[in-house]
Amino acid sequence: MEYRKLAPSLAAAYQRYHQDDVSSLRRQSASLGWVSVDEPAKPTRAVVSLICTPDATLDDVKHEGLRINQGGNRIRTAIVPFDGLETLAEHDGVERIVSAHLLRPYLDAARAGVGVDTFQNTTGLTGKDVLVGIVDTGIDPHHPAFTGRIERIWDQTLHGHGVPEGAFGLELKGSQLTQSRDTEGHGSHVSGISAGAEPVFRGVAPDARIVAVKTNFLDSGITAGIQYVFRLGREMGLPTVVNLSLGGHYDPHDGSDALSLSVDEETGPGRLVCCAAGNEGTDDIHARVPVHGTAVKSLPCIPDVKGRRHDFMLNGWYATDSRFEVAVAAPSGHSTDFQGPIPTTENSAMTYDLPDGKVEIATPETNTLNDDRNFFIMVRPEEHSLAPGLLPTWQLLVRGVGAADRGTVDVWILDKSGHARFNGPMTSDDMKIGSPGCASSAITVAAYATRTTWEDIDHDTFSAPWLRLDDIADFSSEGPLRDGARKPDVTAPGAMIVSALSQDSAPERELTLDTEHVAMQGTSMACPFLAGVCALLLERDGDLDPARVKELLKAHSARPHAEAGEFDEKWGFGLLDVAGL
Amino acid sequence: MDYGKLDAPLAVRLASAADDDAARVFPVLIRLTAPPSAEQLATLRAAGVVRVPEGRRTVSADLSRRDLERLSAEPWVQAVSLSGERRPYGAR
Repeated sequence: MEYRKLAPSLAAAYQRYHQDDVSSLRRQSASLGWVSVDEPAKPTRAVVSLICTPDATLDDVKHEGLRINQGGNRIRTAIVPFDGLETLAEHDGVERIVSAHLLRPYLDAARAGVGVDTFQNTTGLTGKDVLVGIVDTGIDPHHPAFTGRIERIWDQTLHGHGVPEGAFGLELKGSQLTQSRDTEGHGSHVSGISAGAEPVFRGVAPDARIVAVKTNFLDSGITAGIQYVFRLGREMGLPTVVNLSLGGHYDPHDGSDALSLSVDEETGPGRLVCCAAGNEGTDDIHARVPVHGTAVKSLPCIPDVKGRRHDFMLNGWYATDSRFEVAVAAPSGHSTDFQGPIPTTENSAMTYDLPDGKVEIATPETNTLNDDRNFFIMVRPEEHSLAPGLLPTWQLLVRGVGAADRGTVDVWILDKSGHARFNGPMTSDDMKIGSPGCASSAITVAAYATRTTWEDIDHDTFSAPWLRLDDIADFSSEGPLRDGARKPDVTAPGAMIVSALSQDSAPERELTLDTEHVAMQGTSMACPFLAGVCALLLERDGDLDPARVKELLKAHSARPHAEAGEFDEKWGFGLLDVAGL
Repeated sequence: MDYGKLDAPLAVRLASAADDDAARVFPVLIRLTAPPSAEQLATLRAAGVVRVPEGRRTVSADLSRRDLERLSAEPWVQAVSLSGERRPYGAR
């Protein structure tokens, strides 16, 4: 028996069948499509899907009771007696056999909720001859959802000579693809939503070609990754959509940073970029500090809501018609000097050693990309600064250089772990979409909940009480941008989404549905849903540019009980109705 | 060094980095005023920008302090930003 061809649940059932463990088989029969478990006169059979080699002929597979249904090419369905599984598995034309339970369309709720099924049934669009680029944590090249469709992987984390866009990492193709591993699993899941194709899970554009960039997550790596995917698209003569389910808050939140400008530079007719809005909808990471002359405003900053020691950063922006000074006060009460804009002839960064830790403050005169003023502060708390039982609270102090200096400072708190928060009345629940989601030409996506319960691999049912079914996800980050530009653009399904599980990742068991699928949530999941939709639109018209796609999406999106075209800082122009596109 | 072209995170990194002028310890994005001419391309390469995609205004590189000083002085270099670290927006 070629066990490697059997999906794990089927392999386990096959063993139980041979151990005559009828009670276990009976318990699972309803959900797994096994029939006649209790009928001695009939052989116990399984309803299965077969993943076959291209153009395989299975006419010569003979076993009593085996019925292979007509239709399909690489994917076929069959009813097979357990005694016939071995015959089927040993046939050269059969690559994999999976139980019918995997045929449950896990994305049914998401796809149906926004009309993808209707759209595809009407148009027949599947993303054929479109390139989907996934810049993320990698992709599992073994996963059946991607079989035969991964053109290249640029693994920026492996040692190599890189590609023309960046002299680092290793480019892989063909049999080399398996050298790259998606140990996080995020990129495989994202890829499955956008372009997965298998009986288990149908992505939005299941016939699209795929290029994956396993990125180092630095702006430079991401930029080079975007440029790489679009070059491949040009060389292959395919319209291309790039998915960026990532982001951060190092930028001015107005689309003028170098990464966002690079996105704008790369997009155009037949070249689209989709970005996740972010998952900080319920996190106090943004504050608006009103400054009136030399009166000092104090903004509480908590490095970690659980009290752990973390370095954190403060990224502040304000209009150039005022001059403000900033300082940082430590939990002990010690503070740095106030520091205002420093002339361009010297480095704008100064370092202050406080008993509670080190503080570095940069206050350049202006930023040359948007002509606004910016300050950036790095705080490195010392271990001994933590008082037992108390959350160490630092303070950002802001004041005008003179009595006439007035205005508002937008400031974001960030750290590598994502646990730093502001406190107090100046925290503001808007402007949380950072780069590259704030790129003008990017299609930026908020997340919607189409599923709040699921059954895990042990057949235990779980729910997500933090979500409201058929509503926007609270975690979805709000716009608009700091300059008032409207973001996000639209909303798409992003919770809970079941998609491809990388075999090199280690997800929590309760989120694992089987050995090939895992549930995740986030605007990271909504983004590839929209990227898949964009692939369908590009299949229909390969010259669509970002502006035209946004017009189309805007005309076919709306918040519940609202008209199309109305903007909301949480929903953008609302939930997408793919059926009408 | 034209500090006016460096973004604030890069200024902080410069202030705290070890004093080795030749060490390529600054991952950056360089924004140019226009796609580089052949002469500008040569200058970029001489300054340690190994790969420059054709016709692009944004290039990525790992630069040394000396390279940063050289490039920031060029009038066709609009801005140099420290490569920030982004993170994926999904959770299990």
